[in-house]
This record gives sequence, structure tokens and C-alpha cells, in this order.
Amino acid sequence: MKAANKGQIRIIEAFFAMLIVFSAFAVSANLTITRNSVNRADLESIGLGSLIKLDQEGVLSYYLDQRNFSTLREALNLVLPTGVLFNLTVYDRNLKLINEQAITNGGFSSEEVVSVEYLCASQDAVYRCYIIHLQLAMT
Amino acid sequence: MREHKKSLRRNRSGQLLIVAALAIALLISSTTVYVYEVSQEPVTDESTQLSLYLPGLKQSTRNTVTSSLANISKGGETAALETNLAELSDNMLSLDFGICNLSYTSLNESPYDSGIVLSWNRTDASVSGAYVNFTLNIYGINSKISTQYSVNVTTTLFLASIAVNTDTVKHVNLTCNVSNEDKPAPAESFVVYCEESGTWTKIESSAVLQMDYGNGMYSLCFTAPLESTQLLLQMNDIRGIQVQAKCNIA
Repeated sequence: MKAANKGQIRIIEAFFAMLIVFSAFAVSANLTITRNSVNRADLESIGLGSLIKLDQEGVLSYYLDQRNFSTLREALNLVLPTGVLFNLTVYDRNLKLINEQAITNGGFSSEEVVSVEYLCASQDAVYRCYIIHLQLAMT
Repeated sequence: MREHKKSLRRNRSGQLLIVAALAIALLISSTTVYVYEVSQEPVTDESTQLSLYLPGLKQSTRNTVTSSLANISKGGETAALETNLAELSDNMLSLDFGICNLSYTSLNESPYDSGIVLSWNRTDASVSGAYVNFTLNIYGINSKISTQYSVNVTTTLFLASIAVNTDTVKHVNLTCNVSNEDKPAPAESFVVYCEESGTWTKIESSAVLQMDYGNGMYSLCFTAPLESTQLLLQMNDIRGIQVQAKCNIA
């Protein structure tokens, strides 16, 4: 009876071993899928693309000339994809900070914060240059 | 004794199988995660990263030329173009992502003079324009990108037709077209002056009936004094660039 049961136990053990190996495949496949797909280069590209879009439309330099930072924040919120947090800092040509109030849509909780730099020249007849630092992170 | 050891080894072989399976599972998981992590490492090289900044820098040169032309067309000095470009070039050196070296040459071929043309006395179309050739080099730690391009900013005002009906005053109906870089463009404002005995008088904007056709074409209706012989039309486009056109209503 004992000898007859031994064979069945071997089969059950082999089955468990097989189950463990296949579950490893299943778990590791899921591990890779759930990871966030947005990387550093993507965020840089998104940030610069958004600033260029606003600059081409003439609104970036216009709002900076007008010191209209709240509308600039709204404009950035519109052009950036949802789920992207930003913090914008503007300096004049002498690297003096221009925006006393923060131009941001929330605090950064992510570990990975990307920073891009943009030089914005005014289209106005009175010429001005601004150096913009835009920090970006995923929510 | 030997028999007992043998049976013990045989009894534990199933547990060994499970432990081996666990070890294999661990190996598979860690290998999969490692391969995934490695494939996610940024593969962008420095020159690709620098090239991301190129469109923005080109846009800033275009804005500078536009700003200078707006200033010059409103009576500013022609040197404003050189001054502004020099300031932009200096500001580019303050950027941290790389060393940006901007060199530029203003077009000096007819009709351009130091990169600027203000041709307002032509009978067909009046033009305010600027043309500058740029060379932009961006140096990273291990790479360099270089590009050459031109920026042409042109605003044209074309007087398509003018009709004058005279009774006690002159009723003028004027049609004009506005274009930016040869494409129809909107105008920001129009100001009309009329010449009377050598003196230019502004016609109040409230007395000018303006019709916008939405395709860069505008129609202006107003009355001018009977003695007026010439009209001066001053147009500002939405970029702030001014163009003037004169026409005879004698």
C-alpha cells in the first residue's frame, strides 16, 4: 500500500514543481507590464514640445511680458498631457527670478523629476529674453 | 544502516524536487526582470538629446527677428536687429544643457539693407521685411550638432482697389490685402491719414467703417475733406509689424 502511494506522491510533487515554475513565468510577465512606460526622454520631449507650441502661438512670450502667470499656468495645463506635473521658473537675462508666485499644478511625489531649459525671446517691439526652467514628473 | 540511509535519501527526493523548482522559478523571475530593466535603460545618445532643444532655439531666433522688425517698422533704429541678435546670442551662452554658439549674417542684397526692407512707396504693394541667415552650433560633452537656416519675416500690404465719390466731401472705399510671408494674414489695426494742403490729418478710427473678410482682405469706408489729395494707410499686423501705403485721391 505504502509503495503504491509513493508513486502518486511523486506525481503530486512533480505537479507542484511544475506549478511553481509556470507561476514564476506568469508573475514575472505581470511585473514587467505594470511598470510605468513613460521614461526620462519622453518627459523631456513632452516638456519642450509644449513650450515650443506655446511659443509658436505667441502666447508664451506674451504672458511673460504681461507677467500673467496664472493664465500661463492654465495654458501649460492645457498643452501638457494629463498626469504630468510641472513647475515653471522664469528668469530674466540677468538670471533674476521673475515669477514670485509658483507656476505649478501640484507637488511632486514622484522620484523621477525631469528638468528642461528653454530660451524664450519676446515678439514684442520692446525686446526681452527669458530663460525658462520647466520641471516635470509623472503623478 | 546503509539501507536506512538509502530510504531516507529516497524519501527526501520529492522535497529536493520542490526546492529545485523554487530555485528555477527564482532564476526565471530575476532573469525576466533584469532583461526588462536593461531594455528600459535610456538609449538616447547625447546628440539626440541636444537635437530636442534645436526647434526651441530656432523659434527664439525667429521671435527676435520679428521683434526687431516690429520695432524698426514703428520708427526704431535699423541697428535694433543687430543689437537684439547680439543679446540673444549672449543669452544662449547662459543655457546649461550645452554650449550654444549662434552666428548670424543679415542679408545685404537689394532690396534688403542690413537685413531690413521697408518698401512703403511702391504703387503695387508695401512691404516691411527682415531676412537673416543663422548658423547654430550646440556643443555637448561628447557631441556637437550644427545647423544652418534662414529666417524671413515679411508683412505685405496690397491696395487692391480704391473708389472715390465726391460731393461736399470725398467718400472713399478702399480694399486691401494683408499677408505674412506671402500667406493671407489678419491685421491688428488700421489708421488712415489724409493730406490737406501739405498737412497730414488723422481720420478718427470711429469714422472708419472696417470690414474683415477673414482671408486677409479688408474693406475700409470713410469720408475725407474735399481738398485732400493723398491718403496714407498705416496697418499693424498681429505681430506688431507696421506697413504704410500711400495713394492718390486727387
